Amino acid sequence: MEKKWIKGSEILLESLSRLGVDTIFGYPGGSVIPIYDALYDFKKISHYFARHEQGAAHEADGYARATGKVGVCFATSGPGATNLVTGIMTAHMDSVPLMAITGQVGSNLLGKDAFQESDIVGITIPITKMNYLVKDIKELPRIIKEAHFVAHTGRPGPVLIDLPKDIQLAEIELAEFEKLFTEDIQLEGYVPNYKGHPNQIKKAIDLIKKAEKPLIIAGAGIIKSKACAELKELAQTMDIPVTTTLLGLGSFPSSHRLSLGMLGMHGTVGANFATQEADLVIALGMRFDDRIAGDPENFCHLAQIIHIDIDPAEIEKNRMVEIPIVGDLKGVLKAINKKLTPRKNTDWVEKTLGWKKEYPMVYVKSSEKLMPQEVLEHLDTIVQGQAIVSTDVGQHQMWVAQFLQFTKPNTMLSSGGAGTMGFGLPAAIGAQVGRPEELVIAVVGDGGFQMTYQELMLIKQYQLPVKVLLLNNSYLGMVRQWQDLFLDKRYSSVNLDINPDFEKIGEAYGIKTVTLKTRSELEDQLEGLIKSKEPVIIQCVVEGEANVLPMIPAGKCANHMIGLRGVI
Amino acid sequence: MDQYEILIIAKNKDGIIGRILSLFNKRGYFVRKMTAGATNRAGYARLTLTVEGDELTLEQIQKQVYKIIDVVKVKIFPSKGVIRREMMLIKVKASNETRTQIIQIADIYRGSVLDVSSSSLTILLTGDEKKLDGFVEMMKSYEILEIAKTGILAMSRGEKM
Ligand SMILES: Cc1ncc(C[n+]2csc(CCOP(=O)(O)OP(=O)(O)O)c2C)c(N)n1
Ligand SMILES: [Mg+2]
Repeated sequence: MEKKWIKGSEILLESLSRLGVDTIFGYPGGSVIPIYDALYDFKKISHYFARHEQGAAHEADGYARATGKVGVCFATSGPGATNLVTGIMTAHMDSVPLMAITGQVGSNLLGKDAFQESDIVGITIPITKMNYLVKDIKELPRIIKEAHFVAHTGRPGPVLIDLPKDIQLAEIELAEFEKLFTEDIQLEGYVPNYKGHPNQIKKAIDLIKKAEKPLIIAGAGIIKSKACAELKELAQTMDIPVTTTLLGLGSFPSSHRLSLGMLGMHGTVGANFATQEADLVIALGMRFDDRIAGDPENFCHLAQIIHIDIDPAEIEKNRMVEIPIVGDLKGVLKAINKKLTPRKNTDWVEKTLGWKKEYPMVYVKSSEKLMPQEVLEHLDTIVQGQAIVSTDVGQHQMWVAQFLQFTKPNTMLSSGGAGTMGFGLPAAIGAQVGRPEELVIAVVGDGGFQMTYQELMLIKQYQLPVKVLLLNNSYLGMVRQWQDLFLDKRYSSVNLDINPDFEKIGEAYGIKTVTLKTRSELEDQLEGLIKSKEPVIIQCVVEGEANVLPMIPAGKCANHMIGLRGVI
Repeated sequence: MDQYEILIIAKNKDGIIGRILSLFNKRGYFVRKMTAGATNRAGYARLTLTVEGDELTLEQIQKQVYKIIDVVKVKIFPSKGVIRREMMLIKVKASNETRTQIIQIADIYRGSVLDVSSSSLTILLTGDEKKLDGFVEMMKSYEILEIAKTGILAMSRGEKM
C-alpha cells in the first residue's frame, strides 16, 4: 500500500481545525511561508489577512472575547513575532484565551542571530500562560492540543507556539500523525480546581445569610465562567446590590434595579459609596486591582470579604480576605444558591437606590460643542444594550462604561488590565468576524485610532459592517485630564490639533465616513448611520476639555472621590 | 529580611528555570542561591532556591510558581525538621609555616584537602550554612583566594517529601 505523508504545516492546520478552530488572523513572512502555503488550499479554516501583526493579535483577542472561543493568530519570526507582543500582553492581562503561532528560523540556525531570528519564547515568558518551541515534528500534535487546552481552561490566557521552518516542512506518515493526535496531553502540573472547598462554601453561605449590607462585585470571571444566571439568582434571592468592574460589564444587566454600574476610579458614586458602607463584599472573579481598590487595605474597610476566583494566586494578592474560595464561579455559585432562601435587605437596597437617584451620571452640556458624553448617551438610546461595543483606551473608554448599558455577556470588549491604545478597532473587527449577525461598534479616540487604523482595510476587504465611532477631542484626553487636574494644566504632548483628516482616511480605505459636529447633526444622523447595513466611520467632533468624573485619584479610597455631580 | 528555602519540582523543559526566576524578579524577590539537578524521576528537575523577602510576598510567589504549567510541586521549607546542606570548595594561601595549621582546622571541620600546591590549599567542606561560614571566618587570617559554593540542598526529615 502506498504511504501517505503529512507536513508539519499541515499538521498545524489540521490539528487546529480538529480542535474547533475555523478562524485565524495573521500576517505572512519568510518563516511562515510553508504554513501559508498549506493555508492556500485548506478549506476548513478562514484566514483573515491583517495589516499589522498587532492588529492580528487584537483581532484574535476580540474574536475570543466576543465568542468565548479561543482566538488564533499567526506571524512570522523576528519582527512579525515581536509585533504580536503587545497583543499577547493585552490578552494576558485580561485572561483571554489566545493562541499565538509564530514561525521561527530553521532549527539549524537557532541561536546564530540568523536573519529574522528572535527568541520569542524567551520574550513572551512573562506574558504567556505557557509557551513552546517545537523541536521535533512528532511533538507537534501534542503541543497544539496542550496549548489549546491550557489557553481556554482554568484561568484562560494566551499561549505561544514557536515553530521552526524546517519542522513546518518536515513530514511524517499520516498514520503516525493520527496516532500522535490521539495521544493524551501531559499536564501533570496543571490541575485547575473547579469545585470550591465545601467548608469554605459553607462559611460563605453563613456570612451571606447574616449580612445586613451585602454588596456583590462582579468581574470578568463571571463572564468567562458563564455564570451570569447564577449571579443574577444570588443577587435576586438575597436582594444584594451588584457593581461590576470594567470587564465585568455585561455580567449583570445595567438596567436591573439592583445594578449600581461600574465601581472604581471612574465608577458611579453609588457603587463607590456602597463599598464604603457594605458589611459584606462578595467579590466574584475580580482581582482588587489598583483601578478598583486604589488603597487596597482601606477598600471596603467595614466589610468582611468573600473572594471567589479560579486562580489561587489571586487570593490575597492585593487584598486580605476573610473567606477565599478557589473554584469555578458557575459551580460555586450554584452550590451557594442552593442553600439560600429569599430575603429582603430593604433598608440597604433603598439606600443604594437613593444614591443612584441622587448621583446619576451627569455632565455639563455646552452650548456650542458636542459633549463626548452626550454622543454616548444618544448612542445608548439607539442601541439599548443590543450591540457588541469595543473601546480603545482613554476618556472615551470610561465614558462608554459610564453611559452605555450592557445587558449581555461578551458584549463589552475593552483592554482593561493593559490599557492598550490601538485595541478598539481590531478587537471590533475580530468580534464582527466571530459574530457576523451582531451590531458591532468600535468606540475609539483620535489618539488610539491612529495606532492601528491600518486595520480598516479588513473592514473593506471582508465587507464587515463594523461601525467606528470616533470621539475626536483633539487631545490625548485621558492624559490631558491628569495634567489638568493634578499638574496645573501643563499640557505636555497631549495636544492633537494636528491630526490627519479622518474623513480622508476613511475615504482612502474605501469606507463611508461622516462627521457630526452639532447636536442637531447627532440627533438627525446617528441612528441611521448606526443602523446602516454598511460599515461606517462616524467622526464626532467633541469638546476637548471635558473630564471623566467622578474620579477617585490614584492610590485613594472612595471617600476621596471628586466630581460627584459631574463638576469639580 | 528573612531567608527561606523553596523546593520546586518541575518537568525539565526548555526555559523552565527562566520562567520560574522571572516571577521572583517581578516581585522584587532576591534569589540568593539556587541549586538545580535531577530527581529520582526521569525528566524532572529539582530546584532549591534560597530567597530573601517577607513571608506574605513569598506565599504569593509560591502560588504564582505553582501556576506554571510544568511545575508539579512547590514547597516552602519550615525552619525545623529539615536537613540543609551546602558544599563549598575553598582555596587559601598556604606556606610551609601555615599549611599544617590549616589542615588541622580543616580536620576539625571534617573538610578534605583536594589539592596542595607550594603556595595554596584547596579544601572541600560540606555542612549547613553556619558551619561553612564558621570555616570561612577561620580561613580569613590565611588569605582566601577563591570560594565556590553549591547553594543549599534541603530535604525534609522522615518519610514525607
Ligand atoms: C499604547 C499606549 N500608549 C500610551 C498610553 C497612555 N494613554 C492612556 S490614555 C491616553 C490618551 C488616549 O487618547 P485618545 O485615544 O485620543 O482618547 P481620549 O482619552 O481622548 O478619549 C494615553 C496616551 C496607552 N494607554 N497605551
Ligand atoms: Mg482624544
